This record gives sequence, structure tokens and C-alpha cells, in this order.
Amino acid sequence: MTRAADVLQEAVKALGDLTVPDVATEVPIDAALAHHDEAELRFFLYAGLFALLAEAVADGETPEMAGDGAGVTEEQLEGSLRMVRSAEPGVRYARFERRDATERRELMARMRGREIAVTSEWLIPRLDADIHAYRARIAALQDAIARAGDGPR
Amino acid sequence: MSPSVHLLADDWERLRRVYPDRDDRDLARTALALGRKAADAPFEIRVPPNLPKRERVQRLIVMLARSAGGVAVQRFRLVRDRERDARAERVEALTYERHLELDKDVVPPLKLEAKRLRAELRRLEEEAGSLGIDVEAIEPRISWPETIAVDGYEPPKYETNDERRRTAVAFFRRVGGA
Repeated sequence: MTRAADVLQEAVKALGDLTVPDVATEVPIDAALAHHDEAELRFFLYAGLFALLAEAVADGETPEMAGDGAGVTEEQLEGSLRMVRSAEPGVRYARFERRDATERRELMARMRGREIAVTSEWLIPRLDADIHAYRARIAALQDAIARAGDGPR
Repeated sequence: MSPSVHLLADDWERLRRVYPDRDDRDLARTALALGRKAADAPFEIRVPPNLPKRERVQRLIVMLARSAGGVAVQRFRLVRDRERDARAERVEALTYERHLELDKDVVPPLKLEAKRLRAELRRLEEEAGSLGIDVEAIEPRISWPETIAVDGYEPPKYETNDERRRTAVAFFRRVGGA
């Protein structure tokens, strides 16, 4: 039998677990909401999801809860709220830190990518061309000097 | 295709376990309505103790929903961005290695060779001039302003960890001996 109180507890505990699987599911919404901001809708859905779990705990309304005496309880909800509040700073910090690190890495990669492109596509071909020209002129100069040395003595 | 919003599968599954007889669309509609209501409710840190029990529970539900919703969306992004994070790390490492390879193994030998050839070329031009040869008439000529100036070039020095350690030890010996 599913006890809503256990599920709520599990859901709240999972909020602070950053290693949860990243598998997502598509939750269908009404067509009229199709153009709403997805992040905002996600917040509403999540807030509503927790409200529904908490209501099930508070009312014992779901068929599974009937008669299990899960009466409920302000204390349980207060305990869940405390857990959420204690998880919040860690999750926010982890998100900020991870996003910051990723954005820095992406920026570094873009900057280096530009430098690599300039080096590979401009500097190296230019140096190769210069070296080729120097060698050709050195050969011509050596030839001229040799011919001058072979001249009338 | 009907519109949808992504949530973590485990999170949604929990709701379905508690409401097994309701379909996803119905649950989503109710969740959206309750979520909006929680978002619109006045912000409270704690429930006033003098309210009737039913009202206190309702207020707690709203507070819990709003707080948990906020944390859940942060965790959703954090978890779903794992792939992006890993890709950024991979690409950054790759560009670092390629950049280092070019700066350490590819460009310095070319610049040193160009520097050596420029010096050799100038020496030969001087020698030819001293033999009475008109060096300007010798083809091919070099358009110097269009070349890359490398005469003062010195290759960058890359230290190994051992070299860094030796430098640090020498420094502390010096400081300690002062």
C-alpha cells in the first residue's frame, strides 16, 4: 500500500540528492499553454506536484490511504518543509557553481578555438610560405655567389 | 503533437503512485492549478499559530509547494545539464591539448627555422654584396614587410612538474638560508 506520507518524504529527500537519474518524462499540458514559458510551467507543475502529495498526506483522500490512519499532520508537513528549506541552499549553490564552471569552460574552449583557428589557418601557412621563400632566395644567392666565384680570376 | 513539459521521471512517478487512478493529463491540470495558486499566495516564513488547524495545514501545503517547486526546478536543471557539463569539460580539455600542442610542438620549430633562414639569408646577401653582386637583381626577392618577423623570437619554456619542484625547493632553501 502506498502511503502518501512516505512518498512525500521520499520526494522531499530526493530534492537534495543531486545524483538522481536524469531521465525525464513528458507531462502533457493543455494546448492553450503551449506558448507559455516552459521554465515557468515546470515550476508550477513541480509546486503543484508537491501540493498534491501534501494534500494526499493531509487528507488521506487517496484510496490507498483509506483506513491506514495516516492522520496527519501538521508536524509531518512542517518536517517536510524544514527538509526542503535545508536542501535549498545546497542545491542552489551546486547549480550556480556547476553552471559557472561550465560557462567558464565553454568560454575558454571558444577562445582557444579561435586561437587554434588563427594559428592553424593563418600563422602556420604564413610561416610555411615564408620559409619556402627564404629557401628559394638562399638557393638563388648561393648560386649567384658560386657563379661569381667561378668568374674570371 | 500535444504540448508537454519535461519533469524528472522519478518525480512524476511518485505522484502517479499516490494517484494511480488519475491519468497524466488530469494530474498535470490539477498540479498546474495548485502550482499557480501556491505561486500567487502571499509569501510566508511560518504559519501563524492562532489559525484553525485546517487553515494552518492549507498554509503549510502552499509554503511547502512553493519552496519545493523552487528547489525542484533548480535540481531539474542541474541534473539535466549533466551532459552539457560533461561536454564542456571534454571540449575544454581537447582545445587545451591542441592549443598546447600548437604552441609547444608545432609553431616554435617553424619560427626557429624561419629565424635561422632569415639570418642565413642576410649573411648571404652581405657576402654577395661584398663580391660586387647586385643582390636586388637576384630573384626571387623577399618582400620583408609581408613576412612574419621572428628575428627576436625565443621559444616559450614549459616547465615539468619536477622542474617546478626543484625551483620551489631552491627558493625555500634560499629564503631559509637568508
